[in-house]
Amino acid sequence: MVIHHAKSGALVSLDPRSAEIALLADGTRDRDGVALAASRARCFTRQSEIDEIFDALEGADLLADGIAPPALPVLSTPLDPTLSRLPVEVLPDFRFRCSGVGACCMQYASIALGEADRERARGLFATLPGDRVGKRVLLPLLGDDCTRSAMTLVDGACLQLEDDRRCGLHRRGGLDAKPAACRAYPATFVIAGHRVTVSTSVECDCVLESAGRDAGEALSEATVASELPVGIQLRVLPEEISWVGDERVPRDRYLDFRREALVLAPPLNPVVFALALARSVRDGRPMTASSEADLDASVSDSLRAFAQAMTSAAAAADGWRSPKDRTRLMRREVATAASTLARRGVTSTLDRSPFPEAEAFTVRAALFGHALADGAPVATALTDLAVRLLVARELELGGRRALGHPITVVMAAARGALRNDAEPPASSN
Amino acid sequence: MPLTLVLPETATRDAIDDAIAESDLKLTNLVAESASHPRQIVASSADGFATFVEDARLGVRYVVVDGSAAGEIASRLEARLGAVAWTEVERRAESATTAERAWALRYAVAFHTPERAAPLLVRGLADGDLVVRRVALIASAYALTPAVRGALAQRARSENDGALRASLEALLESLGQPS
Repeated sequence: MVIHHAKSGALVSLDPRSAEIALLADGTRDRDGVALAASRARCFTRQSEIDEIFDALEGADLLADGIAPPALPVLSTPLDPTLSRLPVEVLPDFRFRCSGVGACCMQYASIALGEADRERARGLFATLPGDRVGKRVLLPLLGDDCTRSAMTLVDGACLQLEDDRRCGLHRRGGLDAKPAACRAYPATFVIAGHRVTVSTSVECDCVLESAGRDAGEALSEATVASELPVGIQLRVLPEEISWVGDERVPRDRYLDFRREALVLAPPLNPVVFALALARSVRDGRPMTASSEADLDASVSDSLRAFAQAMTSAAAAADGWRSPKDRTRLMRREVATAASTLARRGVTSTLDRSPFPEAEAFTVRAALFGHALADGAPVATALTDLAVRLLVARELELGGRRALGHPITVVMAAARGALRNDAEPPASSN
Repeated sequence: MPLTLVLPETATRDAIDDAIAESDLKLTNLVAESASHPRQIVASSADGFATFVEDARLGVRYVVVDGSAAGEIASRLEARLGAVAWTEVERRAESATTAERAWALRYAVAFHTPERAAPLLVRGLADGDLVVRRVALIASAYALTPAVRGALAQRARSENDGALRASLEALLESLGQPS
């Protein structure tokens, strides 16, 4: 058995006997409980063997006291009648057009399906490549939770992605055969108080190519929540939002802040804008001009932490992902750029944006879609956003465009590689 | 009638697990250590069960075997794990070595025969070596015969070491027996 650490990307291999014992840890048992369960299953030999297995799992950071809940509550459509009448606000002035390159089908740690997705797709599985018994295509997404499944990946790409970069499910069964989150991609859905907000992630080149153009489709045609497609997952903003450190503020105060920030955007230098916003949150004062030295100091620690996390994620990916795996390539590129920037310092990068429009769109989409209120303090999320844009600049200035637009590469590479970036947009793509 | 085997130091947890399997027993319960009882490992078969006790206070492992086949199970366990003989306890109690005399006191009470352990404990409480007297105090709590109670009271009055004297007085007070 091979266990994949969903956060760090590390792999731990267990022989069949050890795996049999490890699987006895069902979340309710301590080591004694596992020993007794092993005895009942007639596979107990020594307590020390059990201790060794769980010491190894603990050493690989694979043991936890229960499963951590998502940073914010998540609901799925169709919504409760009390929520189904909520108005839907969609990121204005944006229409999305997919180029069909298929990057989004090969850059995420998992491609999740809900129960309805699974049922729709099951009828098409008989002819899946490499699936002679029809059992290994869908795997449990989390532990033994059978409500959501993960599509098998090959070289980091969705099994359904065919040679011409088209979705096999779409080809066989039409658009409706695709998982709901794939159909909705790159849209993000958030219940923010008395409305549903639809924005976009910026993790695919199609998004930036679509920005500022009229071609394409609206992220959602829904005007009220009941019109959203079935199977869409929505984050719910809690009544208190993590603000700075341990401080939390009422949701309305956060929404006022977001509204004012959206009025100010798009700025000339989106990185400086994000850092200034973070500073205003931390200081509790309106935005004021900051010196570059101040900005440099505020971003350095976050940049070092980002570089370290991406370097670890890249090393983990190197350990098991294939050389062709897009996630592995992206993590390595981003880790290298972030480390270079951290060593050199950001002063010379702060005032040079090679793609100000793309950065401005990224900041606006994040603000509009509440991506900065995703569990981590808003001040931290703003600084992290600035750091990612700085790393994207570093990629661009270094001529590293082979994997796509630097902003989407950094955003997608960070997804799943960092502890506070759990699942892809729409939470199940 | 339950049978008690006091296990030698070579009877490690791995050795116990192996002996359980080789004696056709099956692990059936594990009782965690608490303030009121030591850790216990219970293994059973259709006609008997063995409770292995890991007494961390004494630093001694022993096993209590019960059931219709208690004798047979005890024999199988003894063949695999060995057992400490009472004569060995008596021999070490006479040793000139502090560690040997302390060992004898720890193992003496594991036999669950307080009357037999009492003379060793009384002598241990009067030992000239403070280490032996400390071990004797701990072991005495397992075999509170009248003779041992009397020796505890006497020791409490004459003990020079303040910490040990305080422990003696605390034990006597908990027994409702002023020193």
